[in-house]
Amino acid sequence: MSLVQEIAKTYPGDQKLITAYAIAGLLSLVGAFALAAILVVIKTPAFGLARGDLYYRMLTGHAILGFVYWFAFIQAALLIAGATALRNGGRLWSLKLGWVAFAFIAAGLVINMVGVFAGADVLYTAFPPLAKSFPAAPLIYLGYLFVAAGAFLITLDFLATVIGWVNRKASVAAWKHMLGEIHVSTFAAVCAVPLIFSIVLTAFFLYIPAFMWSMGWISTDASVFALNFRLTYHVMFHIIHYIPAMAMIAAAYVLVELTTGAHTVYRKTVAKGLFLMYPAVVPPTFVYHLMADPSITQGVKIIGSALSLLVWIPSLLHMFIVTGMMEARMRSAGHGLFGWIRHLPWMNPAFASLIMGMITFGIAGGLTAVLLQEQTASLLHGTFAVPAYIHPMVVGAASLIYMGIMYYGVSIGMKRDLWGPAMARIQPYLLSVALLVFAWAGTLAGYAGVPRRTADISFGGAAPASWNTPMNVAMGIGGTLTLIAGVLFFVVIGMTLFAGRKLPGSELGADLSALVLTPTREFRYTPTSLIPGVIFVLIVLIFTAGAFGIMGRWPIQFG
Amino acid sequence: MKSPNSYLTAAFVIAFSVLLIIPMWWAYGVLLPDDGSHAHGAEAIASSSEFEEKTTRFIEAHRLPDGSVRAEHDKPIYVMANQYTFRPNIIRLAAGEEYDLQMLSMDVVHAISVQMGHTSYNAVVMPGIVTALKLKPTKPGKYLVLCNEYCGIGHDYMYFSVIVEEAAGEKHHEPVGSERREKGDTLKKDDGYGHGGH
Repeated sequence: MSLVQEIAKTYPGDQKLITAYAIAGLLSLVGAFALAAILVVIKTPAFGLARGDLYYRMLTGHAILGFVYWFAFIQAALLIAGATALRNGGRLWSLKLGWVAFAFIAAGLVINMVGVFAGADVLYTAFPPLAKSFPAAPLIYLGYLFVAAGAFLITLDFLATVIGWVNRKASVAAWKHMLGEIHVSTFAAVCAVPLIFSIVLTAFFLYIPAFMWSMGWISTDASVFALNFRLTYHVMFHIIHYIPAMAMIAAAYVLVELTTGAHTVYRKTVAKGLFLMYPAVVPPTFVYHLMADPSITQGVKIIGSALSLLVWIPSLLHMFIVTGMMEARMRSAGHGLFGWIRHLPWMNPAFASLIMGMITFGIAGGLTAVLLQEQTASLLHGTFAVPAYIHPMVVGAASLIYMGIMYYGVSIGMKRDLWGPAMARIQPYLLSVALLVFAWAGTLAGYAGVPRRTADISFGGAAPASWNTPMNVAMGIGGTLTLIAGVLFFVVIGMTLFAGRKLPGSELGADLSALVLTPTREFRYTPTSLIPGVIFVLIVLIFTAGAFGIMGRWPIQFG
Repeated sequence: MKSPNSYLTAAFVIAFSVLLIIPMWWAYGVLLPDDGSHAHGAEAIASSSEFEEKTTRFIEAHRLPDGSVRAEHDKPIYVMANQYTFRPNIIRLAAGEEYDLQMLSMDVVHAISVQMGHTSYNAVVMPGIVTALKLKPTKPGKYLVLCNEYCGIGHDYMYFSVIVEEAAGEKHHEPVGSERREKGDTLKKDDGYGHGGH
């Protein structure tokens, strides 16, 4: 049975739940893009419309909708799909619990948005003591508690479903067998469970006192609270980043099979073992956010920084395996050492989402090199280089790959052919190129000293006028093109849901059908797939050396 | 290579080679913390009122007629941050000397971004714990120091200046690096208490 047929066997009740989460996620993303449009206008110096009051409010809303709710909803949808769509008709442990979790996350969204528009201009970080000066700040903390509760419940539901697959729970062999036979992407979701529970636990530990403090129910010295909050927040925050990283890679394994028909070249235990690395290597990464803080010692920062280098390793290897799957499949059909690349299904919008998502992930990942190291972070901390790498990561990589999955979700689940295939074909390329323009110009701006989270970067005329050019390119060109690409995606998906041609049975329309290839030989070697990894490591080492070079020539030496 | 697993092994080697960053740290001499390099030293938790007192005494002791303060290299420089000013607002240093800068926020989390012409140095300034930095200016000029941690509506106008003078303590030179957009006069005279600085 093909993967498409397997996915099509998803129980209708589970499918309805997945659809609800996916649509709620999509609406959150639409909201995030809408607010991003306002931010683009404010932050493009050429328009001369910088306004602090509107900017900080819109930025708060944009980040909450995009980073918290789009991801919360879509990742819950993927979690449920991992336990059902990839299980040949297998069902979620409790649909009721799935809907309760949905209600909690939706309630969190409403509470947070009321808070934002009631004036909680606290950014999505909502750090004390700043939050104290905004009366609506408690709604931010409260909303986060609801989304954390929802995430906990859906993860519990997923875990109960997985445990239900083991026939003899007392037998280790039965557990091993279950973990061995589940799909790689489902295994990835299982590995994410301890991370999700850590996030939820930390969120409750953080936001319950924060809510009570912001309501004035407990009095805590604001300065002590600020230190503790910031530390705990960043422990939670960086683990949150790795859920999209893992989910994106899990989705990539599904997409590569759906688009090219590729199967794994290496033993599944390798890929599964790499997913198992994440719960181990992710926790020390919280130190990334505290490199420029006085609250932890330099020794802790250096050790944390060294341990954090390990987090690139599973991601690099997964990218190698997925690319290798494509390479082996294409070369089995007789294509050449590099020629196989030309014959990939570039016109398939879901494949385009996959490949551009992976390329963007690699480039954005390379841009993080200087920020992750204690010795070089002070060059870029708090500058525009931070959003310059974040947006290609979360939008150009994770979200783009999720969009690829959504194309299939809509086609298989709703049995509709894609509406506006020409738009769907352009959209992934436009989105990733736009974000790479944003990344490149934004990184240049960051190296030049342009700060992030600042409405008006002219600082009343004191700041260099030369800052305007990279910001005009990053926001004016990169930002605008990103918005256009987003609109294209929303139009395609929206119109497909209502006006897409109905498909008979579980076959896909022409645009999303897997590449048809006739294998002419047995080919399992993947030399070309080694190249992206080499490029990535070189980029990281070159950027690091460059940063040390810049710092060595500073006219004021810091120590 | 003859076996598919050789490529997998090669991929593992490539992936693990990101750890070559660690010998780079050693080569640049920044692997292990040693005296005076890359602090954001965790000083003792400090109370706002104590620090404010130290800052006031520092400004009183070093204030110049034009409102700036001239720091001495063997005594700490105290800078207070609060919504939305830094105090003192203009600090004069001598090129070639080493200074000990201590900063504390009186209210919310702030940060500093020292602009050095197409590059910057960035550090967080928190309430409750002092940010201690060693700095050694080498090139005379005027350096803008912005707040780059969102601290409220006035964040976009929060900055101070560091003027690095020749070692003999003569007049300051032209601004470093890129062109500046001048709106009328340059920074207005400051009385060291952060008024009129922006």
